[in-house]
Amino acid sequence: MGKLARFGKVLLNSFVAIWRGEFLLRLRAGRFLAHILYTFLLFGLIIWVSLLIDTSMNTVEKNEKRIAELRMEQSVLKFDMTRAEGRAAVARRLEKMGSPLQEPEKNATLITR
Amino acid sequence: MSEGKKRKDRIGITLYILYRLLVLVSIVVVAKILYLQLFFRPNPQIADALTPPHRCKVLEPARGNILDRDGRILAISSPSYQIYMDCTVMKRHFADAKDPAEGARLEKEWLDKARELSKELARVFPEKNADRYYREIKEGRERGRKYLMLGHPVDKPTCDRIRQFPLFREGQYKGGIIVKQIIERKYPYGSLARRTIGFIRDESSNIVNRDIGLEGKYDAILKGEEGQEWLRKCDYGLVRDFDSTFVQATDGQDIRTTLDIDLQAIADRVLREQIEEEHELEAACFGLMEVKTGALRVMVNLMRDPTSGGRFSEISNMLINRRGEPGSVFKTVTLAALLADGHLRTLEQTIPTNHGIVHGTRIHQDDHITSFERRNHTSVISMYDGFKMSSNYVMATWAINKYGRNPEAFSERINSFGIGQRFDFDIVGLASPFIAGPANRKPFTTTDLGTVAYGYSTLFSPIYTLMFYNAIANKGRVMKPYLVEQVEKDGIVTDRRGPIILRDSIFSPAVADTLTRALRAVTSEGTATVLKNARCVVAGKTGTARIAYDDRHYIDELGRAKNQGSFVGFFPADGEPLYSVICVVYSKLSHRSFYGGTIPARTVKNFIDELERTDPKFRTRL
Repeated sequence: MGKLARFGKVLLNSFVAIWRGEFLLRLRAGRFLAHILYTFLLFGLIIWVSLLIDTSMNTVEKNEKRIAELRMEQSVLKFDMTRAEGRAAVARRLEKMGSPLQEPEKNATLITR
Repeated sequence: MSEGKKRKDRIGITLYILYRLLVLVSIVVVAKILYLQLFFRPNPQIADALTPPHRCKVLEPARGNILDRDGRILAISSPSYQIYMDCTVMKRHFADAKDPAEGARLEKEWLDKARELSKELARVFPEKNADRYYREIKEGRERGRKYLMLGHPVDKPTCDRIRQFPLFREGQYKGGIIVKQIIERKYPYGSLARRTIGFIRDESSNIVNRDIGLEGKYDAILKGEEGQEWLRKCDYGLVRDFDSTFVQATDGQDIRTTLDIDLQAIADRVLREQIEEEHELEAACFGLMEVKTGALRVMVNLMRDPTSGGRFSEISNMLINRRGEPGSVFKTVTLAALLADGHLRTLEQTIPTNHGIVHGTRIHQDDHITSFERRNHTSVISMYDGFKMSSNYVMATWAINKYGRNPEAFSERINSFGIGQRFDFDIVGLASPFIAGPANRKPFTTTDLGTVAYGYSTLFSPIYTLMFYNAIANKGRVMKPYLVEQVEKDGIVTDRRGPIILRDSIFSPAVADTLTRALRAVTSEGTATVLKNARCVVAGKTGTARIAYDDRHYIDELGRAKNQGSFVGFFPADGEPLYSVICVVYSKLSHRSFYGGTIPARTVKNFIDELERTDPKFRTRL
């Protein structure tokens, strides 16, 4: 019997066994039931961990976006603060608020010992 | 066969049939998979649409800040928000409504909200009125405009407020609001030191000169490095693909400059006060340098801007790039050469007045000398008197007498001061100096030697002159003017620049003291007496030069000339000097002369007075 015929016979027997529902029994897969269950457990774990990674990565992305927004807000606040603390800006604000406080026009009297 | 066994068999048969059905289905599935894998060729467009997208995202680094000496921000990148509107939202939906009357009602309601929106927009962007905004939105809706720009970029609070306007508060798909974030470079101190701080040119700009100021020169440091990440799609949206490469963006570093923004503000104000009403002035600049280090604390460059109605703006860095004949401020260089070479022992040494005529040259008669002769009934003049009155005759005569037979020695001595050589400066555009001498001008005549002695036939930008006067204040040590103190990353110094000595000793401290005495004479009884009443003792020299307006002529056919008036010096001159200072004004073609002893000297005086009034540190150091 040629190799091809033998392979064909094995294929046919396997199909008949599958059709009858005896394939795993003929292979005596029952001996490896624990291993099969373990393998499926690993498959399950892989899927579960992948989902966890996706969830975490999504959180990372959201946080990165938030951090970028906060950095932007910080730069705006820094800019506003710097602009507001300039001497001219302070003088303008004081004047607007009706304060008589101004830059000195005369030197301060220096008291020496 | 018992009843229970029969039931068991029925269950078994049912399961058996189910099993076989599943086997048949699995055969079909496997066959379909094989077909799909081996023979099926999908439509490429559908394949693209169904393939989970992997896309490369460029991570933009944050640009570094430019800081003043105290860490105050001079330039920062900050976002602005431009509002656009998709005018077509819901239009199709309303048009396709089952009940046309209901559709028309909804469309009218949408337009009514757009009218309310227009009123609010007119308050935020008053350049157009509410009717105009409404018309644009309505026309945009009719013509199918999906990207109508509204107003100008706004800050975050304003953007948030706009989001709450009628219609816009319904979101992008119903209200049509589109917000685009733009990262802008902002300068909290407005126009102060703008030319020194510089600009960032848009890549699409046609302007070739991109190296403007510190922004241009230090772009590589400020910009940082782009990063890259690959994104994949998951159930939650796009997330980083950890199986692909990821390059973190490196943010730009900060540049801490030597500029003092408070001093800059004072200098800018006092200079503007002096020049704004002078309609015949075209430009002015002011520089302040720390004597010990060479750190530039102030760089004001004001030039009339034709695009803003001739107002003074920071549009050219004249302190470093405006090269011209310095005029009388160069006489100090000649005096330093004579002293350093031992040709002049004291300032009291005299020469004959000769009615101000330098024999054997084409140098014009010096009117100062004839006046001096009349006033003092004398026929001799000391260097002290000649210098303080800024006599061309005195300086030319001394130079010709001592170097006439060997002009190379004069050139060598001047070159040894370091002012004839270009140095590496922190911003692009430093003009190279030129001093006429036997090596670069043939024939080098006696007239040439005489004119060099009083500041013509030479070309300098003001910063070279300032550097030389700083060396006098520093007892002969030439410090390189610099602008960048250090490079910082998150407040940690990564590269410290700082002071650099260009020449350790160009003349002895005794020569420096003699020069200081001569310069003090100028401010106490010479051409800059306006500084006599300054809050501290100032030593300095005025200079008034005519500018060759077309590289050859000094006076046009109407008798008008372009003048350059300068004052350069240092203060306090009675103790340890803290700052050296220069102020130069440039006139248009005019019949008026702008002397160094007027506007520039007054500006320096006002600056010192205000500095003393407002800066307690300065007072303490005095």
